[in-house]
Amino acid sequence: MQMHLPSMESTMKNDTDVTVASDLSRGVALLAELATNLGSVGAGFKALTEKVRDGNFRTEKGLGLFELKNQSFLSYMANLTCIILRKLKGLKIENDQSIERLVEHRVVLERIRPLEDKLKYQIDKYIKMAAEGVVSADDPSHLKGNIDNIGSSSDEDDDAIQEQSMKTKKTGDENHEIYKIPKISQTHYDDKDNSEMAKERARRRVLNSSMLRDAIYEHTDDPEVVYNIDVLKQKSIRKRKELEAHEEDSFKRLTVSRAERASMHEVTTLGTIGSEMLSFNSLEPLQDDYDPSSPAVKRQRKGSRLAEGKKVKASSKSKKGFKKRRKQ
Amino acid sequence: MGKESEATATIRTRKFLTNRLLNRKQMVVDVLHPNRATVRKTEIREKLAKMYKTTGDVVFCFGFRTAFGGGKSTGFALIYDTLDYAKKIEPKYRLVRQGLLELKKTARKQRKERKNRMKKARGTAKAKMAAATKKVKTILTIL
Repeated sequence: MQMHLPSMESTMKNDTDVTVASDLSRGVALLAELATNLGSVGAGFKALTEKVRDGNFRTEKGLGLFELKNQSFLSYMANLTCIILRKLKGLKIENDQSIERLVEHRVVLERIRPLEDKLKYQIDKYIKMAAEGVVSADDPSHLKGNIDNIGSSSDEDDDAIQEQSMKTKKTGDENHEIYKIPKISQTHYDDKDNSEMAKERARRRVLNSSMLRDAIYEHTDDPEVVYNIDVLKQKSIRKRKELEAHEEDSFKRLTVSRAERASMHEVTTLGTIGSEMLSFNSLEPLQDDYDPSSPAVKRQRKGSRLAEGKKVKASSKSKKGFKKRRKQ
Repeated sequence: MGKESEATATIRTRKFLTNRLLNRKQMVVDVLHPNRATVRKTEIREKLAKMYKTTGDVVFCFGFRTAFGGGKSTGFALIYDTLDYAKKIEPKYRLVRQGLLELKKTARKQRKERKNRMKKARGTAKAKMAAATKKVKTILTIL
């Protein structure tokens, strides 16, 4: 109904400036519509005023959202009729206070709209409930858990509960019971999920290895991406920076073991290609029956590590320096 | 082969912090010394003392490491409020380095032999033996 009245305003304005003939018939039809709509509004209004007088609208707990909406709608209507009356009489509506009020109510209604959208589901549900009188079968609140059902299971296979239940049966008086720690026997922890993760990880390692990437590159049409950074160098640079930062924060020099220092140094030499590039990876992780925890796989991994030349020492003591010094 | 000690060295301090709990100022020192060997700690002490308007004996610097290629070295410096605080708080080896402390120690072999001899005695006899053995004990003489 709000849409009709502004268009009514525009047609009235045009009539005064342009020749009447073409728009007159339309104007008459709109006027008739206006009359009927006003009739219905009037009826609604009367009902509303009756309700207000009966005291159906209470504001003890504050103004509800829909209350606000209704009030602003009504106010909007009232102010709009005010302006139309003035126009019909031929008076100016410039600087009329009704316009300010109209704008205010319009803003309020527009702000209410998103809130209403958010509550839409709840509102529809409650309206449906009110209309039908019974909660609908599709309501997901039926799937909520029942707190009373917890702890009352008939099959008690846990040792602790059995003991306690037996004790209560014996004594019957819970106040004098000494609390005894429940004896739960140790069971083996089955780390089932980890093996799948390990499989995934091994598979990803093989796929991302340089050997397979070169093999795949031959058969794809993807453009080659050339990175200008050396990953190993970046790693060592980052590690050194972190070390520096730590030293400066704690005001002391940290000792770096000889092996670590050598490894940090060898990366900085030009043209170092790490073992990642030159090694061969077995393609077993790509097969379905791969088991990362099997001893055969572990032996294979250890063997490859020794082949790269990294020495795995049994003792951590390095006697080299002392022996050298002693000889001198 | 003359010493290029006339070549300038620039000292910059970073991460300056006033440590009220230990009555000192601590900082990271960056020394820029192009065309010159690593600057001596004594020189750095003098320069820092001038910068922070104190005497050189409350300035303790340590941990200087020269970057690869030379020209720049980084280390730490602590400037105490007074010499008393410095003597209380600084570790003994740094005081020895600066000459504020003298640590006389008997040789390791001697100490071990003395201990083994004392094992033979028991009770007050042990104390007598300790007094009897006129070996040089650990003396802490504070200059």
